[in-house]
Amino acid sequence: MTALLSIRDLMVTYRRDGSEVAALKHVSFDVAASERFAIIGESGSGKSTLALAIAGLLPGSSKVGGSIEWKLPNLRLPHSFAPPSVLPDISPTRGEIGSLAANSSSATLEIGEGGDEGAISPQVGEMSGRTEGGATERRPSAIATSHMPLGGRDIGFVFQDPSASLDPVMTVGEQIAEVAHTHLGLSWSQSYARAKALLERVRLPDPDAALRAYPHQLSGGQKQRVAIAAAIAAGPKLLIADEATSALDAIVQAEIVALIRQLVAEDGMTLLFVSHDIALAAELAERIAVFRHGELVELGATAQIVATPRHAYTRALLDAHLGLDAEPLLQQAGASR
Amino acid sequence: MSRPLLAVSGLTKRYRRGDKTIAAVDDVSFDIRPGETLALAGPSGSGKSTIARLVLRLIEPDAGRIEFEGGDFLALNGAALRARRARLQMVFQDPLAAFNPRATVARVLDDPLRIHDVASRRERPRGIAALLERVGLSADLAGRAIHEISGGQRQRIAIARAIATKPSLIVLDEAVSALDVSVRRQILQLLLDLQREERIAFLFISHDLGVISAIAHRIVILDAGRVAESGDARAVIGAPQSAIGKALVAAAPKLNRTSTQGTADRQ
Ligand SMILES: Nc1ncnc2c1ncn2[C@@H]1O[C@H](COP(=O)(O)OP(=O)(O)O)[C@@H](O)[C@H]1O
Ligand SMILES: Nc1ncnc2c1ncn2[C@@H]1O[C@H](COP(=O)(O)OP(=O)(O)O)[C@@H](O)[C@H]1O
Ligand SMILES: [Mg+2]
Ligand SMILES: [Mg+2]
Repeated sequence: MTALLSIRDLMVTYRRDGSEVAALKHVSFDVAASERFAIIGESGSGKSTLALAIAGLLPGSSKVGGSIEWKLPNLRLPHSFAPPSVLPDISPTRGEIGSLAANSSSATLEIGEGGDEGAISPQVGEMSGRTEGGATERRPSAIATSHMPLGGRDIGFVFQDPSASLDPVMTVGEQIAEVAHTHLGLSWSQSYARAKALLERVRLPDPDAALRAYPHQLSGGQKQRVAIAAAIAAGPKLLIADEATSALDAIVQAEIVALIRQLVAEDGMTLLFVSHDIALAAELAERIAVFRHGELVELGATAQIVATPRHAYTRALLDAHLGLDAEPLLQQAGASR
Repeated sequence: MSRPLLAVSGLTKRYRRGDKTIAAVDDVSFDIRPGETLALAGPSGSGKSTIARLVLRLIEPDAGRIEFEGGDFLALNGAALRARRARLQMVFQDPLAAFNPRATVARVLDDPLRIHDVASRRERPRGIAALLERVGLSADLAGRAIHEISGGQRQRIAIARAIATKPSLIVLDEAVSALDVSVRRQILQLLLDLQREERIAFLFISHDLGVISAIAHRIVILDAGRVAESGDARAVIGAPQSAIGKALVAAAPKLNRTSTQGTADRQ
C-alpha cells in the first residue's frame, strides 16, 4: 500500500475562555492512496479537528504539533507558497482560516518526489476568486521549506451543512465553474461546461436548470450534490466528507453515500469519510479509525473492526448501534400494552 | 383493547407555495392507546413535524378531527385548552434552544410547575429535585446554567419538563436524533421506564428505523403527507409493503458483525 499521507504524533489544542482544550493527542496513522478511510467517534472526539488539520483549515488560534507528510506523486510545486487557501466551498463562518503549517513550526509538510507533470497544479500565483485577500498573504515564510497540497485543488472538502458551504448569492453553475477556473486555469466558458458535466455526474435531475439555480432553490440533498460537485471540480486526490450525510434523511443519505462511492471509484480519489455512525462508515469504508477524547483508540480493516473489535470502546459503540434487527429495548424494559 | 387516548381522523393541513397549494398532511388517520408508543416515520418533508404541531395545536388543521382523552380536542380553547394541554407534552430535537442559555435548570423546570399549578411556590424546589431524580439526574444540577450541561443532560431536562405536568401523551419529534449512540440508548431507556411506570403514551417521530424498531409498538409510515402503510412496528419494518417503506428499510445502515463488511465493492 502506498501512503498518500502519513500523520505522526499530531496534536491540536484549542484555546477557549482562557483554557486549553486538547482536541487531538498524539495521533499517528497513514492513509493509503485510493483507499476509503473512515474516521468515527462520538461528538467532541476530534474527528472534525483531524479533517480540518489534514485539509490545512484549522483556525489560526489553534496550536498544532507533530507532522502531516504528503506523498502526492503528480504534484509539483516549484516554490514554497502560502498556507492553503480558502476552499471555494468553505463555510463563510470559517473565515478565520489559518493553517497547520502556519501554526506549527514542527510540522513537516513536505510532498513526495516532485512529479514530472504539473497538469493539475498551476502556480499558486494564479489563484484567484474567493481566495483573494484570504490566506495568501498570511505568514508565507512559516513553511518556506515545505509544501502542502492545496485545498480545493488537491483536497475537496464536503461539510455537514451544504448551505454553509455554498454562496447564497451565486448561482450553482458559477460556484462550481469558479473552482475549475481557479484551480485548473480553464477559461470561463470551459469552466461553465465543466460545471454542467459535474452536475450531471452528481446526478442532479435537471442539470441545465440547476446551473442557473441559487442554493436556496434546492433541497438539502440537492445542495449536498452541488457541494460535492464543487469539491471534486478540480479533480482532487483526496475527498474529505465530514458528516456530509448526517443532516439528510435516510433515503437521501443512502443516495449520497452511493454517489460518493461511485465518484471516488471513477476518479481514483482517496476518501476520508468522517462520521459518528459506525454502521454507515462500515458500509462505505475499507478501513476504520475509531477516535475517543482526541485519541485514536483502534484502527483496522472494516471487517475486523466490526466483527472482532480489539478495544472495549469500539465494542461499546457497536453494541450501542440500534439496527433494524436490534433486540427491542421494549422487551428488555418489559413494557406491556 | 382499551379506548384510544388520541384518535386522529382525516387530518389535513395545506400550505400555499407560490401559486400552488400543497397538502403537507393529507387525510391522515391513526390512534394511540394509553401507554403505547406509536412511531411516525417517513422521508424528510413527508409531514411528520406538521402532524406533531397539529396534535399539539400549535397550528390548526384545514380538515379532520383530533380526539384526546375522550373529548374533541379541536373544540377546546381558553382555560379548558390550557388545562388539557397539561396532559399533552412535547420534546423536540433541541428543546432547550428557546431558553436563554444562562437560564438555570431550576428555572426551566419551574415553568411547567408554576403555569400548570402543579406545585405551590414553597413546594417547587422539592418538586424540581424530584423531577431531576425521576430522569436520572442529580438534584445538584438545579443551579447550573443550561449551556453548561451536556446534550444528554439537556434532553433529560426536556423530558423532566415534559413529565412535570403528569401528561398522558408526549409528542417527541426527532428527540434522540442529535444524540450520540450511547447517550441515545440511555434516553430511550429512560423513556421506556417512564412509560412503564406512568403509562405515558408516546407519539414518537423519527427518521431512524433502528430507533423505532427498538422502542415503538406500532408505526405509521408517511409519504408526501399521506399514510403509506401502518401496523405493528417490527412486522412493518421486517417486511414493508409500500414503496416508501421498502426504500426506508433498504436505506438504513446495517451493521453486519459476523461477516466481511467493507471489503466487497458493492455499489
Ligand atoms: N474552534 C474551536 N475552538 C475551541 N474548541 C474547539 C474548536 N473546535 C473544536 N473544539 C473542541 O475540540 C474538541 C474536538 O472537537 P471536534 O474536532 O469538533 O470533534 P468532533 O468532530 O468529533 O465532534 C471538542 O472538545 C470541541 O469542543
Ligand atoms: N409553515 C410552513 N409553510 C409552508 N410549508 C410548510 C410549512 N411547514 C411545513 N411545510 C411543508 O410541509 C411539508 C411537510 O413538512 P414537515 O411536516 O416539516 O415534514 P417532516 O417533518 O416529515 O420533514 C414540506 O413540504 C414542508 O415544506
Ligand atoms: Mg465534527
Ligand atoms: Mg420534521
